[in-house]
Amino acid sequence: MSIIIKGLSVSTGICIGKAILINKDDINYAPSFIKKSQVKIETKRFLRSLASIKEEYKKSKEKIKDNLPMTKLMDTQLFFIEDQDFQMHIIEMIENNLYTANSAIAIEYKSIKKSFDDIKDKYIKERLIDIKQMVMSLLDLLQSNKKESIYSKISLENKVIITDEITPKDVIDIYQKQGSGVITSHGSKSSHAAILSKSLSLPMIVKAESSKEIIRDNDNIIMDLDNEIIIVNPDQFELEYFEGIQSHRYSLQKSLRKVLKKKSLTNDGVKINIMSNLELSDEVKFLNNDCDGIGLYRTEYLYMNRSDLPSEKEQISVYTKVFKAMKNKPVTLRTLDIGSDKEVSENIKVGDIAKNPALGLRGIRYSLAEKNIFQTQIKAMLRAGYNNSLRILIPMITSLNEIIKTKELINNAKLELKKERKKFTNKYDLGIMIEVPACALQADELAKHVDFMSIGTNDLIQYTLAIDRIDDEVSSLYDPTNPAVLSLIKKVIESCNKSKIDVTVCGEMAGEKSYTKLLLGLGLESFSMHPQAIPEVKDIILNSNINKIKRKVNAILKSNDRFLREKLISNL
Amino acid sequence: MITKDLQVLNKLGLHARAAAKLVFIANKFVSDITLVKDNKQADARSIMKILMLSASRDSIINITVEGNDEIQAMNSIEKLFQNKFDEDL
Repeated sequence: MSIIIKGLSVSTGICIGKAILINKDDINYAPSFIKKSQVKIETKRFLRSLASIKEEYKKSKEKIKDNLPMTKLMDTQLFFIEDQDFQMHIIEMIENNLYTANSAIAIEYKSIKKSFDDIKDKYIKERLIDIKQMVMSLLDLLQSNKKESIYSKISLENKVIITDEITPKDVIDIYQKQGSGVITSHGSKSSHAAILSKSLSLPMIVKAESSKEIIRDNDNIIMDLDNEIIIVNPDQFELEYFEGIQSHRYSLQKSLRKVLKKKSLTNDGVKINIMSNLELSDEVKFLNNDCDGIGLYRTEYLYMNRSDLPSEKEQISVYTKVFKAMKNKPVTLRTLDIGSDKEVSENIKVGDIAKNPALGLRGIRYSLAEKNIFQTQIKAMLRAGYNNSLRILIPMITSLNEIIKTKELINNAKLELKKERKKFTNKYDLGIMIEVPACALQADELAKHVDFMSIGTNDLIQYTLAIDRIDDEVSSLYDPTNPAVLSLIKKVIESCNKSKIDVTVCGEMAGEKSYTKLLLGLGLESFSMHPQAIPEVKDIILNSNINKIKRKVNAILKSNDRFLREKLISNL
Repeated sequence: MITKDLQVLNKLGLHARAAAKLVFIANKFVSDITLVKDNKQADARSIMKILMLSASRDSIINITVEGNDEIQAMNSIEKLFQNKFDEDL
C-alpha cells in the first residue's frame, strides 16, 4: 500500500525515482586504506586538521570571552582536541594498519563509543556528545581536504535523495551526478540550496518531516510537486497516472516555449525586460536566445567545491564563456556574496563561527575586508568585459560609504591592469543590490552614485520582517506581500525612475508567477529570474495591461490583511 | 614512584569539567600519572580515558605518579581531590 507524505515544493512538476537515504551525521565505519609510502602524509593531514579545529575553537573562545560559563565549556572541548591518548591511537592506526586518517578516527570513535556505552553515570555518559562533535568536525575537515562529498561516492542516477538538510554544494553534486530529485525533512523553500535546485530543475520537496522515518532505501517514490506530496511505494494505477501527467507536462512545456519567440510587450505596449539568473556558468548553454540578458550571475559558485581560490585567469575564462553565449546582451556579474547560508571553500572562512551570519561579514562587507580576493575578481570582470556589455553588481550594500570604497577598489584594479598593460573595459555599468532596508530607504540619494539597482527580494524581506527564512519556526511569517516590503520595493523603483537608472527585481519574487502582475503594478519594467520560470512569467506579462493594474495596486499597498491582500493580488 | 588511593568527593563525580581540571594539573608536571579504577586504567593526560573510568561520587581511584617531580605532582592532585575540584557548594 502506498503512503503519502506532505512537504513544501521548491518547483513544479512530477518526479519518479527510487529512494536513497543519506544520513549526513552518520560516521562511515567502513575502513579505507593508504599505501605504505603515504603514512607520513596521512599523519600530517590528521595533525593539521587537529590543529585547525583547535585554532577554530580558540577563535570562537576569544569571541565569547565575556561569557565565563561558556568559555569554561570551550576549555573542556579543547582538552578533548588535545587528548594525547586519542592522537596516539590514531597515529598508530595510520602507521600500523595503514588506515586513512578518516578511517582511523572513525574506528577509534567506535571503540570510545563502546566504552561509553558501559558507563552507568548518566552525567558522564552524555559527554560522548562532545567527542562525537569533535570527531565529526575532524572528519568534515579531512573530507573537504580531499574535495569529496558523500554524494560524489555513490551512483545517483534515477535516485530520489532522502536526507535531513541540504547545502548548495550538495545540490551541485547531486545535479552533476544526475540525481532525479531531493526530499529533505527540514529546510525552507527560499534557502540558497532550494533556489539553486530550482534553477537547475532538480525537483525538491523540503520540510517533509516524516520522510526519513517512513521511506526506506529502494522504495519507489513519486514526487508530486504541484500538490506538494510524496507518494511512497505507489501501486500500478498511481504510477501510470503520474507517468501520464509527466508526459503531458512535457508537451505543455514544449508549447510554452513558443511564448519565448514573441517580443516581451504587455497588452498595452510596454516593453518589459526579461532577464535570466545564472548560478553555474554551465547553465548558460541551456539559455539560448530566450532572454534579454543575464540579470544576475551569482559568482560565488565559482568559489565552491574546491580548496583553493579561482585565479584571475580562470575567472576570465568563465565570464568570457557567459558573455560569448549571451552574444551582445548585457551580463550582470555579481561580486562574491558569501556568508549567510552559503558554504564556500575552506579558504574563505566566514560565517561558520559567526552566531548570526545573516547580519555578519557577508557580501561587500567581506570584499572590503578581504581586498585581495575582491581585487582579483574585479580585474577578471573588467578584462572579460572588454568589448562586451558588462554590468557589475555589488551585494549587501548598506551605505553610501561602502559604494565609495568599492569604487576606490575598482579604480585600484584598473590602475593595476594599466600597469600590467592588460586590455580591459572602461565602459561598464556599476550597480548595487537592494537587500538591506537602510539601502532601500536611501535609494533617492544612492541612485545618484550608481548606474542601476537590483532588488534582491529574499534578503530584503528577511531583513525588513526580521524573519530567518530557513528557520522552520518562523518561516510561515515570511510574507513577500507585507505592505512594508511592497512600499520599499515601490520606493526603490520610483527613486530609480527619478534618476533615470535601470532597476530590476532579481529575487525569487521576480520568477513567482503569482507576483508578476503585482510587480508590474509597482512600476517594474525589468525582471530577472531563474530560466525555468521565464516561459510562464512571460506568458503573464504578454497578457497584462499595466494601466489597468496600476489603478488596483494602491488598495493592495493599503491592506493590512494578508488574506485579503493575496486575494487582491490574484485578481489583478 | 608514589601510589595513593583518593576518593572522588564532589557531587557530580569525575565528569568532563573535573576531568579537564585534572588534565590541566597533570600537564604542569613531567611525571607519568596513571589512574586506576575497577581494572580500568587511564593516563591523567587523556580526558577521554579519565571519563571512561566512570568515577561517580564516592568512588575510589588509585593514583600512581612516577618521575622527577612526583612529590609535587601528587600533592597538587591530592589537593584537587580534597577541594572537590573547586566546584562544590
